[in-house]
Amino acid sequence: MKDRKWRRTIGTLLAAAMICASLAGCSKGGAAGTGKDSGTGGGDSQGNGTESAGEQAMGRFLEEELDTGVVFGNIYDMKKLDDGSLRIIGTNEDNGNSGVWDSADGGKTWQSVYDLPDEMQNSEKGWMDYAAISPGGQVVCAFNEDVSGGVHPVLYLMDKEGKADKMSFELPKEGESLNITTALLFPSNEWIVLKDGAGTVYQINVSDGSVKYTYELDSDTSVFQVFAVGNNLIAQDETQVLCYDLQTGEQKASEEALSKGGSEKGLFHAVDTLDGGESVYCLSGGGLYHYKFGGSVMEQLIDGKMNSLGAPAFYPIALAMIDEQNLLIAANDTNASSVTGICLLKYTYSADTPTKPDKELKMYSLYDNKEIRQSISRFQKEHTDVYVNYQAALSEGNGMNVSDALKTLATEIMADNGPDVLLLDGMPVETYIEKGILKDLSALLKESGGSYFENILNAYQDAQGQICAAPARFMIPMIHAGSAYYSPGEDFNAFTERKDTMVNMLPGTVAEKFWYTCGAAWQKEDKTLDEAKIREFLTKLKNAYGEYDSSLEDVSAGMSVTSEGAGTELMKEIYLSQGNFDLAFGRINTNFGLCKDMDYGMQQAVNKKLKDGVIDLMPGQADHVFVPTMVLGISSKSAQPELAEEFVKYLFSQDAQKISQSGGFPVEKESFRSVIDGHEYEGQGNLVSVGGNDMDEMLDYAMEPTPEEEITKLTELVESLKTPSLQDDVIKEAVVEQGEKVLKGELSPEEGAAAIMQKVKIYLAE
Amino acid sequence: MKVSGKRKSRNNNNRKNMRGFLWILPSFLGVMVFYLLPYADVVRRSFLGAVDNRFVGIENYKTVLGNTAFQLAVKNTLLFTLLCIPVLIIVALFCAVTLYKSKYGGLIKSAFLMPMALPAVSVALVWRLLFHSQGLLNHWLSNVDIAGNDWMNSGSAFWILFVSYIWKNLGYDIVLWMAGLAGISTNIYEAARVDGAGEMQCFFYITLPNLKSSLYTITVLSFLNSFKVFREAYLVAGDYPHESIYMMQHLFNNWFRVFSFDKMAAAAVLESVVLLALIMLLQRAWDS
Amino acid sequence: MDIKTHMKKFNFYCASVTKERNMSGMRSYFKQHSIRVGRKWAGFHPGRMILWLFFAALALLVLYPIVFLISGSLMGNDELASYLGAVFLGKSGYADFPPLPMFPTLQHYVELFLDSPAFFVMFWNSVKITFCVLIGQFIVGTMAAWGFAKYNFPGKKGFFLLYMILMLLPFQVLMLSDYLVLDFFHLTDSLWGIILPGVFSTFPVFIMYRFFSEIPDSLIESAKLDGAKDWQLFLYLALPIGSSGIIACMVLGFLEYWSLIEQPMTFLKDKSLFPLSIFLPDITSVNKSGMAFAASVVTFLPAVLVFLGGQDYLEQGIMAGAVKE
Repeated sequence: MKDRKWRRTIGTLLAAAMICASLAGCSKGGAAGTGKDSGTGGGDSQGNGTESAGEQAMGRFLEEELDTGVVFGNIYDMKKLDDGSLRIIGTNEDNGNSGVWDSADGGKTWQSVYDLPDEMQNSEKGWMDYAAISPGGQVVCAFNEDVSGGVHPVLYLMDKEGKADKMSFELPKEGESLNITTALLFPSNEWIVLKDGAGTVYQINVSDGSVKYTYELDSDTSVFQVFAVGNNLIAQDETQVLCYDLQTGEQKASEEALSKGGSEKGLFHAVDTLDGGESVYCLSGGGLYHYKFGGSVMEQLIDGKMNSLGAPAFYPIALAMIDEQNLLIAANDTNASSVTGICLLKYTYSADTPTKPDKELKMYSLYDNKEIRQSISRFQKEHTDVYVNYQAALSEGNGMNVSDALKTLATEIMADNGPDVLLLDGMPVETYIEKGILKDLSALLKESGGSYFENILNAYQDAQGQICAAPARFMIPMIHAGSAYYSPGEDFNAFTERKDTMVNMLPGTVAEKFWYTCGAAWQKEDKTLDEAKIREFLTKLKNAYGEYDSSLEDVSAGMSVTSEGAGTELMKEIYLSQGNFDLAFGRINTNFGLCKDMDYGMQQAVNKKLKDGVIDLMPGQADHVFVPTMVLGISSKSAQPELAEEFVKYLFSQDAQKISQSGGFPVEKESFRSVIDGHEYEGQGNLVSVGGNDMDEMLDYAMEPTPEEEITKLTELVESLKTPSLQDDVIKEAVVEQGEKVLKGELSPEEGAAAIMQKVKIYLAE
Repeated sequence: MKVSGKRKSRNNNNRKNMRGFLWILPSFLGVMVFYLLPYADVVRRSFLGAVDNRFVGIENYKTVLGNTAFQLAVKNTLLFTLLCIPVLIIVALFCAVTLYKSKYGGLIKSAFLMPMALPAVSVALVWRLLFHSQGLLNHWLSNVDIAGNDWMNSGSAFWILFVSYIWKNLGYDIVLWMAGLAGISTNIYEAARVDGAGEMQCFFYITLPNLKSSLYTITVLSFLNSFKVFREAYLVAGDYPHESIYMMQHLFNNWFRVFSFDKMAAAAVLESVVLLALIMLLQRAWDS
Repeated sequence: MDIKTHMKKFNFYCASVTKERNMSGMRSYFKQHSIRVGRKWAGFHPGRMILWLFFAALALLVLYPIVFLISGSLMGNDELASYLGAVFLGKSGYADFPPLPMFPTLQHYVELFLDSPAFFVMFWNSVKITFCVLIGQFIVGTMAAWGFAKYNFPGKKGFFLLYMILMLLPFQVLMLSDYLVLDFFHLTDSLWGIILPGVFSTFPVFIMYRFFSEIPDSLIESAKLDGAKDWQLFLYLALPIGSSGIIACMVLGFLEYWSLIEQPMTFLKDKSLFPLSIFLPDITSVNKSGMAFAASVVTFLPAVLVFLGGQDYLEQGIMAGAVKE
């Protein structure tokens, strides 16, 4: 009797606990709306994993790059006309002429309809900024005429067959300065919508060029970009979307879902409609979305993560919906196969392709890597059954530091939930290899068939010939200076004997740059560091650096307050390219740092200013140093090693290696050449002036291919590299921190070396 | 009648035994899943290789005991514990005895309790501003012409941690001591006074002996709280602080990051053995 | 006897217990005591004065960081930049910090409440974690503590020792294995992965155990003689008498789980599940330090309210536990 009551009590208590638990569980699901819903405990959620296998959702848009036959140098607008054909206004790269093309077969082939009138073709007379096509096929162009005393903006209107006329509309001057067009739309055959530099939007009657309505949009705090479909004018800024009625000129009730979707999914690149403006298709970095005005959801049709849309160097220009299952996107993709980067992509709905690819490959890095993103979007295009889930742990803005991220990574790898492919940026590579976390890649690299700089590729090769991690890219510490401050081949001793080589440089940055060329010389056989070498490093560096000028930091600090950190960031950069203007205009006497791409035109421009400039490997205690970047490894606990290998193999293939987003030189020789040879300037030979932060400083930049002897010189230099820089963030942090103090004069070099050793001692003893 | 009564009571006893366990059962099941099971896993790992799970015997224990970082961490942790806990307990006792007999004691005690409610992240923020080499403390010192110090990067880091621990836990321990004081019957004091005992005598012959039993709880709780000081140390000084505040948890953290689960497990088992010994020792000391 | 008479009886017991053992009666002891002392020390004592000044100064010193955070949260970005530039921006000179802002502004609070939706999500996550843990501890913990305090069963001492060791083990020790267990139950990246281990924490058992042991056996025996069943003893005797101890335990639990750091950092990946305690905007940029101050204050406030509200219970609760071994 007693026992039964007993059990009942426990039962009641447990039930109460369960109710509490499930109530809380529901509220959690409602508020956060993400993650696994664990329901009333462990049991429920265990089932989640197996659910999807049975009933897989089908249907996805597949991407295809169209070979149009016409090489577009630029595309201003693309639209599906009322008669069902497609029209493009752009420039023909082959002859440089601007014109209009039509396609009757959904974009596969394009026929030239007419070239723009001569007065708009001649670059002496001015240039075209924007152009737009109406549903009826008319074209409007915003042209800037070069006239005596400045620039005069005019609008040209062409009818469907190309008969051109200047419009009578005059853009009002913005005070004293020139006013320009910043957006041009042609949503219906009757009106043109134009936004000017002051943020005013003019709705212009096509018939007589008179202004029907104006809309004042921009304020001090927000700048809107405008789109139009049918009678709807859509204005978007970072936080909201506003809608106006082009018929009445009135603002319409806010479209909550569109506004919310817009701020979450990113700024729209282009919009289009299929039903005269009842609903709108929006293209953003997140993919393609469809929204019906007055509706409550913005529906995602294409997930940008699975194709080019989400790639970082992909800038859509125009969207043309052919029908609900076919669409065209004109885009500027710097890594596209076409020379100019302008490409046409066709997306076709495929009902028998799984909505989400059935294979998922996890890729992990600490910092966001654009080359990886770009490669992923290309890899997925080739492998429609694979979804590469790329996580850049520190870029998610969740306040994590490196240490926390690595701990989480360790837990996940140990629980077999870890990533398949690792980008080892900031991870202790050597330790990972030692612990057996990474798989041997040597067979894979041999198979992949490219021709590599073996000296760099094998940076992590161990005694048994295993390569558990391999750099796909690298940077080279280099120096650029006039002969008064550097002579070729100078070593660390000679260089640090000189005075005034490092004026106007921040101590921390100097220490960091020299860490790369010196750190590699410190490691002894037993992995401990040589204190004498560190002392020598600090002493000589301090000698060369001279007295610390504290106003330097205040200048950079002042800059960071006013421009939200941009100033300091710039001064703290460790890349060679950062110092070009400072060197050319004498603010610094030597420019050294990590060189990650060859910019021959800029090099020449700086040399011309310096008169006798030299570029060479940066001196340091170790010589012929390179910095491995984009170091790749495959987790030894990966559940799908074949797929992981295929992906890594792709990353080492020419297709991926030729992608250049300033992450370093490719390790594959052919790709290396294509990145440095300046082929994009072939046949141009123009001389342009480029300006730095200071508008008065201009350098004459020759847009021409790199001469063959320069390519050979750099290639030979790369082949001579032999020492990978020491890749250890804990040591690096200690060196940079103490090095900064020594250069500032807060510590003597001896104290600095001792402090470094103290920190590192514990670390190495662990 | 008598016989049956006896049997009944024995039955009762058995059932009672089981019943006692039933009360604990829900808690114990949870403890088993979320604490004991993981702990058993740690013990298992201490005999295995880090990633490959190959059996290595007591190799890990040998490595750990010979590891200089481990020795440093043990030394620092012991030093910190042995220094902080007695100081905290004595200072708190002094404050408690003084404040206990006063009108405004409650107010001051509340002030002392406040730091406990401050989240570690905020404390770290303040610490960073105070003890930076260009921070507030050095500013004040420079006003009175005392040379500053890079507090977190020198031996003084240990004392900052020390003060931080006292600062955070003083209020808590004062409350504990006051509770102990309240448990002593006033009659004893009155009787003593009648016998002519002075303030000091009362304290040493009545207050202290009567507080002995509270000491156990206070020591255990202070010990428990001494682990939490790592949060601030970690948030202010990161993975590799000055060597004087390099604690066991730093080591565990760093080992974790580089997959040294073998060493970590062995060290954890060693630590729990020490804890066990310590608790047994404490219990024995207070039971006698 | 029907149950009503029982309850009356128990209520009577409780009352008598309270009087006898000075549970809540301690406060009256307090009063008697302080009145007596107050009279005694009414005369002027320079030593006492100095002592009081010392304590007042110490209290101010102890409170300084809190004042610091509050005043920092009310300063504008420019003001913060000029005061703290030395630390955050590497400017020369020293940081400075007046106790009151020159140009007080609520800008950071506005930013926090209106412009950071993430902040609310985090706030609610903290609330969910804390309250679920406390409810769970209230149920599971009190039962276990009662079992340990008033029942004898084989191996009790061993179990209790085990509980104490588990209570004292640092989190880092069990981190990986914890993760593996949670992963096995599919509890990682879910608030339950934080809540459930919290519910079964052994700390409240330890605190409440001391409290329940205080209840005199004679009282329990006489209640039993009146036919009270075990569960009635627990519900009508243990819980009411133990209420202040339980509340004390809950207050401590609140502080603990409100400022949890390691567990969410390890077990949660989804940003929308993060609790407030790990919300720390990147304070190395001055633009964010104001936010960090404001977030600190907002995090601190609920903890302080619970603390002040629960302080009396905290004292009584811990007291009873500490009074007698």
